[in-house]
Amino acid sequence: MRGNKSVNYNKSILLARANIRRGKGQTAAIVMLVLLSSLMMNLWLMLSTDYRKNFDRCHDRLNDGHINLAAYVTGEDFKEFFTAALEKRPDITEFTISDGFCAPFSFKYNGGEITHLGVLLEKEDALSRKAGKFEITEDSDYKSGIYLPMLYGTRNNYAAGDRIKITLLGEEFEYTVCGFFNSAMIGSHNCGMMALLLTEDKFEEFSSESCALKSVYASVRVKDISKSESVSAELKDAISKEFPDVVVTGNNYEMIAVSRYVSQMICSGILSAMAFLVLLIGVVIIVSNIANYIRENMRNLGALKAVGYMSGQLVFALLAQFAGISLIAALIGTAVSYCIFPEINSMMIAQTGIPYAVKFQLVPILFTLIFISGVVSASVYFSAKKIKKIEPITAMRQGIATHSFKKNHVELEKTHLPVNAALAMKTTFGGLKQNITVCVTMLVISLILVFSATSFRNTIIDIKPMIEMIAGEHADSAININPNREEELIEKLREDGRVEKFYLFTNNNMEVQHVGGLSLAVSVTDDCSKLNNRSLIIEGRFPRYENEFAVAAKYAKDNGIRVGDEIALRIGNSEEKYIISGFLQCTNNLGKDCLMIREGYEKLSPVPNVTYYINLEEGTDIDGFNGELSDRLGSDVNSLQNIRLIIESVGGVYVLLMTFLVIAIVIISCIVIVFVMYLLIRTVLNGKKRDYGILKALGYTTRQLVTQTALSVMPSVTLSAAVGIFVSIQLINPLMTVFLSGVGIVKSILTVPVDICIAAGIILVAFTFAVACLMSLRVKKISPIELISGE
Amino acid sequence: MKEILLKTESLSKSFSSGGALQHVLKNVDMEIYRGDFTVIMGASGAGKSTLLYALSGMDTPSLGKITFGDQVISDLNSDGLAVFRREHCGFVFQQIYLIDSMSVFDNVMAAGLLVNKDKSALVIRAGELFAAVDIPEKTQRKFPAQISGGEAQRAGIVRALINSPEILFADEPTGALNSKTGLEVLNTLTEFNKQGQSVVMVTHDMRSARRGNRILYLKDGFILGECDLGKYRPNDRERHGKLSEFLAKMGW
Amino acid sequence: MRNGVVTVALIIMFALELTLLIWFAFRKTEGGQDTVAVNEAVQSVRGDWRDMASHVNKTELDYVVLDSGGKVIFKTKEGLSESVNAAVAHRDTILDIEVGGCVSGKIIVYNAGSDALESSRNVLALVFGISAAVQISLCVGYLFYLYRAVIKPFRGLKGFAERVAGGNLDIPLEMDRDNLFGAFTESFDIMRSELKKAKLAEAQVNASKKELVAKLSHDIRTPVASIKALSELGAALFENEKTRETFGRINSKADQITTLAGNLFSAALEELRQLTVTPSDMPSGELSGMLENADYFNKARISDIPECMLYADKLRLQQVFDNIFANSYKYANTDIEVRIFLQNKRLAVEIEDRGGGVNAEELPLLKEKFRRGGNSVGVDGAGLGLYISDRFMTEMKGELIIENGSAGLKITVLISLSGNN
Repeated sequence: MRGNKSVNYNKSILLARANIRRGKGQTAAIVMLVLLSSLMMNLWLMLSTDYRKNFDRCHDRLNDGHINLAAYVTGEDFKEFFTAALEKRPDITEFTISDGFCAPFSFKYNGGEITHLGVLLEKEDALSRKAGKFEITEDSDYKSGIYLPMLYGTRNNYAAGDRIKITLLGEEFEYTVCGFFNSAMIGSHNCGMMALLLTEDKFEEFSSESCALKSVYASVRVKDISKSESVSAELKDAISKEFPDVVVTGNNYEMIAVSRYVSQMICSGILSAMAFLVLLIGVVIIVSNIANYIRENMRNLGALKAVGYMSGQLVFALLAQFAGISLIAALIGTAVSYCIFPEINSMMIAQTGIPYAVKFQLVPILFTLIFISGVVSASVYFSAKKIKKIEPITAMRQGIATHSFKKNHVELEKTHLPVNAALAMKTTFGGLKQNITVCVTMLVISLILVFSATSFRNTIIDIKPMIEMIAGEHADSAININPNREEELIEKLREDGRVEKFYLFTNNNMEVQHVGGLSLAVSVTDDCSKLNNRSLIIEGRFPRYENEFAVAAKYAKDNGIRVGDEIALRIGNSEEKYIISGFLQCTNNLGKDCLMIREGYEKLSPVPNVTYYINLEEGTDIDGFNGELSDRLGSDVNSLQNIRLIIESVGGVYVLLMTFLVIAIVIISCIVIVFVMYLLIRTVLNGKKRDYGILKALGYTTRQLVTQTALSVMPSVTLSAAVGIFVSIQLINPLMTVFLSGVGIVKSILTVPVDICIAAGIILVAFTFAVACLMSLRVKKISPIELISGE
Repeated sequence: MKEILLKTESLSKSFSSGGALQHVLKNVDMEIYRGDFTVIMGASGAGKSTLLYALSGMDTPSLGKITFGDQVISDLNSDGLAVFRREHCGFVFQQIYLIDSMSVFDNVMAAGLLVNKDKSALVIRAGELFAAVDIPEKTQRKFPAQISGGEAQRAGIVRALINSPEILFADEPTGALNSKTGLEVLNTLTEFNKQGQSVVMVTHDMRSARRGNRILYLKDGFILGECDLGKYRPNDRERHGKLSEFLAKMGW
Repeated sequence: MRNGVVTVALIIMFALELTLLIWFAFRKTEGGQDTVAVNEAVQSVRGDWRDMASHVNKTELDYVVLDSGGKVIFKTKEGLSESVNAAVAHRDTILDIEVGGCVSGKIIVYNAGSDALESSRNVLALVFGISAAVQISLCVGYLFYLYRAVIKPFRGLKGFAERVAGGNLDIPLEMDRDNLFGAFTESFDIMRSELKKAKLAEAQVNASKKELVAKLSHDIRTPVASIKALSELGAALFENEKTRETFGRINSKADQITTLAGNLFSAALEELRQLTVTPSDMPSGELSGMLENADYFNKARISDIPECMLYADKLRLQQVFDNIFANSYKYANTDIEVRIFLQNKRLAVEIEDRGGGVNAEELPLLKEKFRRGGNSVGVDGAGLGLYISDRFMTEMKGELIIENGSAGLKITVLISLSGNN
């Protein structure tokens, strides 16, 4: 009876093709959603796998150190001691020490200014290092000048031949940019310290002219990378015991591997979330579509079964249809992702500062294809299982499945709604499946919207909350001076009418050793109540007494420390116990920070140099003010920073990234809404063809029916958008915490712009209504006469 | 002279089927008079329903002109037609066409609210009509699927009359009913006609046709002949004879 | 649907209870003191030690401060442990106050944890009590519903099944649409009506089979009769037994073949007619295209065409127009006026040129075969056109009228409207 099996399966394919042909719009919508999803999924996978590994490759290629230390010294004896100390340790495999200069410097960048701790090295020397090599990424014919990290060559900041002015300890130097270099560990301002390479003549010139301290820069490779942090801590400890006045700063592999890929992490996090959300919408649509298909084609399916098709064949036909379509769409999606990747790459490089060549990667594609077609197939299979329950006879009668003893929702006699709205409500209550689709879509879209609004608010409108979360404390200006001029500075600041407030906030290369743990970067303030960033503490409170301190939340979580615990801290040889008053959130040192009040710190050691953060009155010229301070205090000023400007220039990269993301997200949301509405309205209209024919015959105009159809989806749209936005507003910070946990964020404190979210929600609802109206124009095609002759 | 309600001039309607044009109505010139119970008869396929739907503004004619008072309805666009239908026409369909997802009462209200904004007046009017067609309150609350065909068709008549239309169009109103319920529906229509309601009914059933006072016979898309029967009286042999004679002449 | 709601409600309740239980079980019992707050209390007391009268509690804790002699010098409220001994009994925190390096007093921080535990236990009991009550009532309600929705309708089904089994298919199953088994019972009823239909259909098929057999047997009787007659005749004429037999057979077969062939031929012959005019319905709008087609020198001014349905052979009508226009070009070669209007249930197409017309006596002759007008001298032509055109129009139930108009020859093509034949 069943005949040749392969023949029957061919028929299944035919059925599938007939299906596709009948539902062109539906197919287009599913293709679009799957395409978007696979596009983002592939990008996400590429970013989070190979892109991430790029750092390791770069690090290996340059044989860079797992620990990099820079020490300000004067005498030769330190270098000897240091070399000996490194050689002595069995867990160090290789190291290279170079002479150079180490000082905070600043230059113009991204329309603002970048101030960073710099390591100046001689170019040839730097290129020939065994460990911690540098490579030139762009060279030119200029033979005398400076080489910059390649990050500064992106986005039209500097090009070979440009003149660059570098301010260093109050002195200004001007060089010609000769080219750009790449370094894994000190190649950008994300690295704790940043290298600048001078050509030999300029290096000599600098040595003789500058008052910068001579220093040594060491790249150290260790056997066990996971120990790099503790080795670094032990080395610093050893140095501070022997040479208490030598200031050592450094970074290590784990810290840099994360901090240079912050944007990549944010981007891939968002992409993955979007990919899954769009796929979710796609799946919901497929499921509701199949349910709809089965309902509409009950009679046909029954007839096919009656002539001998097996349920499996019918399910297989659907499966072949959807899986085939989504496989093709996913393939196109991955292809498109390769077109977009270079653009994303160039944006990423502006933050990572490490060159990356886009290349074909099989694994992400395979994963994307298999995952997407798997999910689609599974959802098709489970929703098509209903076909198995169809009995040929009952299906052909079409009586049973559609039979429902429904309630008369919205009685026209009693309702106060206008008749169009009332009829729309009837449709709303009649179609539960549509409502579910709408709800899922709207919930997802409102989450996406709230995310975009929050990103928009915290980068583009006002970057302060983002800076507070990521960078910690901020003010208008910061001055670092030698402690002996502190009294004078305070007096000067007190007298100055432009100064709103000032407070000690010093953290220049200051570290304390957690006894039994790692060394922590410490910030010391004289009065926690004056700090501008009130969200620095995310649990507990600011330290108030000398025996209290606040520790970074990430460090605390990693080490099982709770608020209220008492731990011992050590500087050099003195050790004290402190109660933890609260947890700090700051990513500067990837969650290895702590905050103390001055009295507390001074129990261990005097403050080596003091930085005062200054808030100026609105409209004060910060650079001018800094200039005055510098004139007055002269050479005792170690550094003066215009923090506002720094925030602007560093934030610029994030602003750019977020602008791109927000635009992409808005476009994707619009596409998704259009397609979902298209499918939904199509389903509603197919289901209500007869009813609409009757209503038209009764004298309802096309416009009234269009309004009715569009209105019928509005209750669920409005409700779920409202709920979605409300829930998302609550959820967005915890979600951001998850996204950003890698960079040391334990509790996201971004400002959620409720007003923008609500406005966006209203626009969303209005847009959806407009799209629904547009899609409902298909009502035009339904004519009363068709109904009469069609039966 | 009777007042002309609807008038057609050279009304033609063509459909394309499989690429070839099929002309269903050809040069129909006719008038419908106020207060008449006009019956359009003809064999199946003669274009009766097509004529009815063209007359009632459900469909636009391919050629020719239809005037209602001084309004040329054949020139209206689809929305204009919808407004014409809701304001001046009532429909009773062979397949009844109540909306399944609404209660019987709401079916009537959905038509009524379209024209009449005064809800309480509408409810009263609906009540009167339901009483006239003998549908009790309880049945009004049920769904179309839960009531009998006869009840449904009478509800259909209530829906058609809720806006007090100038013309009631009925397309084989008894076609889907058994003879007993069909008779009830015919009685209802006759009763409303007696009260002055103009009715245009399409049928191919002689028993239904007897109810009319004016019979138009349609053949192959044009009006072959017409016959004035005079007002309906039950069991009027002379009238029956006249109708039979007319139909015989027409080749029925 | 309703049982779904109940099930979901029950599941949600259970889930809620379970989460509550787990939460209670794994909740950290905050028995210990908040060390940060205690530190704040200690530090603030230290700071204010010289002047305890002005001391203000900066924390949310309750505490008592004793001097070195055990005397209470500060307390946040009454009812706290006011001696070291009472504090030990209540598990309060006792700390020394050091001022200037020596112990100057003690601070007893009240242990509030034990009170909190008590109250949370009460809340738990209440929550579980309420939820148990709700669950029980849900279950009872559901059981009642099940009885009404399942057990009662099932009893009703029993009698129905008996009737069907007994062959009585006329009584429908009463459906209570409100119960859970509405659809189920309906399918039973569908089964009943299907059975009934099948029974009826079977009876009908049987009847029509009988009819066919009766008809065929009647039809066969006639040839059988003639075979019989001929064989009788053959038998009468010939002596030879074999010849007689054969004769009879041949005769009968030949007869059958003639009838069958006759039918076939008459059907085929019908189609062999030439120059047929097969009029059909045609919208009047198509005329304008046809006229423009015929007027290939663009000399005609064509009036509006009234909308109606024509009865005409498109091909032949086009030939008629072609002919009229060609004649006009040939003999008059002037502008042509085309007026189209309805006339007497026919559509008149009046085509008039300005060539002066023909002699009045020639007019009736123009439509004859091989006849040409007096002005045809020097112009080619056979004179067949108007004759054929006239025939075409007649066959289309129309008419071709030739007359002299005010300016020239006026030919009126009257096309019949469909529906008037």
